[in-house]
Amino acid sequence: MNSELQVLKKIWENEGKSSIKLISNQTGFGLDYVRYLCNSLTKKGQIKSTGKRGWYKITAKREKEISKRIGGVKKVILPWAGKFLAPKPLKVKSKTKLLPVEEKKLNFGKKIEKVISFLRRV
Amino acid sequence: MTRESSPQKGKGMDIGTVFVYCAQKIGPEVTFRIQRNAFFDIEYSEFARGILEKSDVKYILSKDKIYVVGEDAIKFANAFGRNLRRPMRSGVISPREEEALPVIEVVIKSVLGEPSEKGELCYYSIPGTPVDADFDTIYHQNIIKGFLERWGYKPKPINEGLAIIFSELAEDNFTGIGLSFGGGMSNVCLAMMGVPVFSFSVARAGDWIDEQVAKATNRPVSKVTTFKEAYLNLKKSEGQMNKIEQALSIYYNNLIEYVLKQIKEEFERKAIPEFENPIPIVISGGTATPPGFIEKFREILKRTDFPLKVREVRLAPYPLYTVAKGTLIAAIADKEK
Repeated sequence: MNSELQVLKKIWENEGKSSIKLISNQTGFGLDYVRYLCNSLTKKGQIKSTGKRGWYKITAKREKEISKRIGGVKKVILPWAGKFLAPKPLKVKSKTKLLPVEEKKLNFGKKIEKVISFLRRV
Repeated sequence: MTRESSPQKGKGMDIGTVFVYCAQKIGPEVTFRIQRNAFFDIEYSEFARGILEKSDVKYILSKDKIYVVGEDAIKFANAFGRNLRRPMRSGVISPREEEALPVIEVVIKSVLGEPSEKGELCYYSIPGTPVDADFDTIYHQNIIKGFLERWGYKPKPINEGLAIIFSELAEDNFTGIGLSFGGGMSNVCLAMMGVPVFSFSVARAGDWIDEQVAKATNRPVSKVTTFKEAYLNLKKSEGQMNKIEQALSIYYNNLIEYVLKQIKEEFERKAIPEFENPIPIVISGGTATPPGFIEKFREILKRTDFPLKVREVRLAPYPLYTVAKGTLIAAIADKEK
């Protein structure tokens, strides 16, 4: 991708308008170089000044062209990929919704009752 | 359901490194629900999922992985030749396992179930502050508390050693030492009339023995664990023991000596009240279950300059269920007060 295209892409990604400073931060190009590229794109009719100093927006003509291109591409999600793309919450796969557990019954009842009544008196 | 067999309100939980137990009193019986605190992960694929469905294995789905939790995880770990993963380590939630929280949540929920009423009391065991490791139990305690509250319980933590005292020392007025030798930790609590004088834990227990023996005998840890659980008999004379048994016996000795040394040091650090009579020591936990453990403990205690007079050393009648039983007693006694 050449530098002019990179600048154009950043303006497009910033919702159609952007400042030289922002583009410089996003692309890593120097401020003067971005200014030079913006002037060049303005001359080509791709972008124009918003009226605010250092701010540019994509021209209506160029916007139309881009929209046309994007409109021609359909976003395709393969049916099998859907379940991998969406994060699944942790869920237990079981009829009872719980994992099976081992169970053991011990005849502690009376002993426990004695202990509890003792503890209640304390 | 008759009134006689209706469940009594209040539950007790023993949240251990290897197993999670939930105790509930139903009529004259106490029902224990048990889940292995372990899991195993497989990369997600329709094929793997299909196999699990066909084998009726319960699993957890995540973004890109399938987790087999509980007892079935062992089968898969053996089949794939990989180590079982554990959501807890050294008695607390493992910082090494990213998936520890969702897995432990499922494990606990599976044994605990729904509360019988909103705000049902649930006592859960927590280890004492470790004296030989650089971590505390605050995070673990609060995470478990959060789960229980979210499910509608009123959670209350209880020290593991104190739970043993509640379970086994009623006839001694809840005075004595409760000791648990679990998988990740050994817990100690000295209580007088049910009030803890001191309680602490050491980061050495069954897992530590397995790791040391594995290193000493150059065998995988899982093989040592399986051998220990299935065949170890500490009553055998040294001459009759094979290499693994000898190593296990050595590290069992070392663990008991280490715990007794830590108890002695605790006595030196703290002002301990005087006990009128010699005290009982009651021991529980899976690591204490091999035949000959209690005899070994008594023998080592005898040659130790122990700071208290000990009347007896005994193994709890059901050493695997003792802590859960103690937490249940605490829950019912608290609720009815």
